[in-house]
Amino acid sequence: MVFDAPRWRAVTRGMATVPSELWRDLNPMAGAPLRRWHAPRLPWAGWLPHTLVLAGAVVVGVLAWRAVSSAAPDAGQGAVLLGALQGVPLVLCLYRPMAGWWVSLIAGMLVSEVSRAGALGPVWAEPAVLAHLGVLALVALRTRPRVLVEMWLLTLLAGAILVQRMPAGYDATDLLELSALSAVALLTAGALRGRGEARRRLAEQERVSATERERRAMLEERSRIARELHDVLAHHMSVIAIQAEAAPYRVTDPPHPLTRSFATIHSHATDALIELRRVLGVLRATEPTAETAAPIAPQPTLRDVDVLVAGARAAGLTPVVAVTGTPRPMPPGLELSAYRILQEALSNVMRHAPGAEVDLEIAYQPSTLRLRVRNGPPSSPPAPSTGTGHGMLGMRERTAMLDGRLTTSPLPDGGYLVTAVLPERKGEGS
Amino acid sequence: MTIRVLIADDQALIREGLAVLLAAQADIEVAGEAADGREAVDRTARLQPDVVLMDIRMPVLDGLEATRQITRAGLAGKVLVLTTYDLDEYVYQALRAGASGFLLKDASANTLTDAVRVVAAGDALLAPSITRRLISEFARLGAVRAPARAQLDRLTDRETEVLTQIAGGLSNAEIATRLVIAEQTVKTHVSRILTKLDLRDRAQAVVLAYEIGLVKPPQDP
Repeated sequence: MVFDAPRWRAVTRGMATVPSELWRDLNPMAGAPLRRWHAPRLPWAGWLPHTLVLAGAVVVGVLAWRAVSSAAPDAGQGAVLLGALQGVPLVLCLYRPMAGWWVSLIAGMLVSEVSRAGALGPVWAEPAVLAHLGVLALVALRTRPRVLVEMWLLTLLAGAILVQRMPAGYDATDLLELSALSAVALLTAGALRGRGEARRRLAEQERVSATERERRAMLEERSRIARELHDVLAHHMSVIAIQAEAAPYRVTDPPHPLTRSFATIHSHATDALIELRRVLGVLRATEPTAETAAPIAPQPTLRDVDVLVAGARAAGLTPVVAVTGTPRPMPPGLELSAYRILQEALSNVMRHAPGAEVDLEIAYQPSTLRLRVRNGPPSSPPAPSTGTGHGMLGMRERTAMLDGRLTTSPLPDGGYLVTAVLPERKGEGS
Repeated sequence: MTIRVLIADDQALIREGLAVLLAAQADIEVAGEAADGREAVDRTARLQPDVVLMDIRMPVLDGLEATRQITRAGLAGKVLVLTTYDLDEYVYQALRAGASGFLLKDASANTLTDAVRVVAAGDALLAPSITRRLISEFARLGAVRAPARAQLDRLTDRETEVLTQIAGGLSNAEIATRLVIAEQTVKTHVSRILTKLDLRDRAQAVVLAYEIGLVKPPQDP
C-alpha cells in the first residue's frame, strides 16, 4: 500500500475527534424526556408508558434485591441499595436517557458481580439483563442509530470485563446471548423510532405544504385584485389625459396660463399611465395564464350583474335579484369588488348547493353598499368539493381592502348566507 | 375635403373629449359615436366614416372583433386603434384584424389628429416603437407561416426591396434616402406593392412581410 500522507492526516484527524464525538453521544445529560403517549381517543392513556416503566422498575428492583440477598445473605441494607440501584435507571431513563443507561450499566455490573459471588455463573445476573434490555429499548426510542451501536458495543465491553473476573472454565455462551438480545431490543426500538420519525416528518411536510398552498392562493388572489384595480385606475388616467388635452379646445382663444396648466395635467397623466402600464406588466408577468392575458372586455361593474345572474340560471340555480334603495353609481373599485364578491358567492352556491334557490340582494344604503347572497339547501347532492377555498379568500381580501365587513354562516335549513357590507368612500377626505 | 371620423369607446368621457379635440380641427369632422363594438360596426356601415377610432376593451363586442368585421365586410372606414394599453398582444392582434394604426389614449392632440390624417390618407401609422414591438411579437410566435410566399413573385426586385424597408418601420423619406431614389418613386412603389399584394395599407404590408418570412425577426428581441 502506498503511503498517502494527506489521507493519513485526515484519518488521524478523524481519530482525534472520536473521544469528543463519543462523549457528545453518550453524555449522561444528553437526550430528551420521553413524550407522553398521544392517543386522541384515550386521553387518560398519556402517562401509561411512564406508569408501566415505573412498575417494571419496581419488579426489577425487587428481583435484584432478592438475587443479591440470596447470594450474600449478610448484605442487609446493601442488598436493598443494590436492588434500588438496579430499578432506578429505568425511571431515570424516562427523563435522562443516557444517564439512565450509564447507571444501568454500572448497577448491572455490580449486581451481577455480587450475586455471582466469585463462583462460575451467568455473566449478567437476570435482573440486570431485564433492566438493561428495558433501558436500551427506552433509549433507542429516542436516539440516533449511531448512538445505539456505541451503546451496544460498550455493553459488550462491560460484559467482557465481567468475564475477565470470572474463574477459569467459563464458555462465554450467555455473553453472546445478552449481546444478541440487546441487539434485538435496540433494533426493534430503533425501527419504531424511525417509523415514528418518518410519520412526524410527513405530517410536518403536509402541514408546510398546506400553509404554502394557502399562502400562494392568497398571493394569487391579491395579485388578481391588484391587476384589476390598476386596470380601473389606468382607465381613469386615460380619461384625465384626454380631457386635459381637449379642455383648451372648448373655448376660443384660451388664455395661455390655462393651456399651460392643462398641458401639465396631461403630461402628468401620461407619466402616471406609463408607470401604471409598467406595474400591470409586472402583475401580468408573474403568472401568464389565460386569465392574466390582455383582456378585451372592460372590468365588470354592478350593471353587469344581470349577465352574472343569467349565467347562474343557465347553471341550474334559481336566482332572484332584489335591489333596494336608489341605485347610484359607486366608485369603480367598489363596483368591481361588489361584482366579484357576488360572482364568487354565486359560484360557491353552484359548487356546494347545485340547483338551490338563491336570493341576491343589493342594498344601496346611505353610505354603504350591502350585498347579501342567501341560498337554500341543494336540490341535488353536491359533487365532492374540489375547490381550493379560493372563492372565500377572494371575498375576504376584497372586503378587507375596502374596510368592509364580510360574514358567512350556514343556515338551519341547510342553506348558506353571505353578507358583505362595503362602505362607500367619496373622493373628499379619506 | 374633410375627414369624417367615428369614435368608438365605451367611456362617454373619452368619446366626448376626443370629439372636442377632433372637431376643433378644420379638416376633421366627427361623424358619430359608438359605445360598444356592435354599434361601431353598425354605424361604420351606415355613416361610412373615413376613419374609425376604435377602443379595444368594449362590452358586447370588443374592438378587435369589431375591427375584423369592418375590414372583412369591406367597409370604407380605416380603423385606428386607440387604447389605454400598449400590450404587444393588442398591437399584433389589431393589425392582424386589419387595423391601419395603433395609438395610445394619452397621445397628445397633435399626434392624434396627425394619426387620423395619416390613416385617412391610406398610410399606416406605425411608429418605430410599434414596429419594434411587432417584430418582437413575431419573434415570440416563432413559426413563420408561408401561405403566400408565392405572392412575392408578383413583385419586382425593387418592390421587394422597398417592402423589406417598410417592414423595417422606415418612412417613405427614409426609404428614399437609403435606396437613393426620389421619395415620389418610393410612393409609387408602395402603392404598386399594396395593389399587387391586395393589401389595405402599409401596416398590412408589414404584417405580410413578416408572415412570409421576407424579414426575419431578430433572434433576441
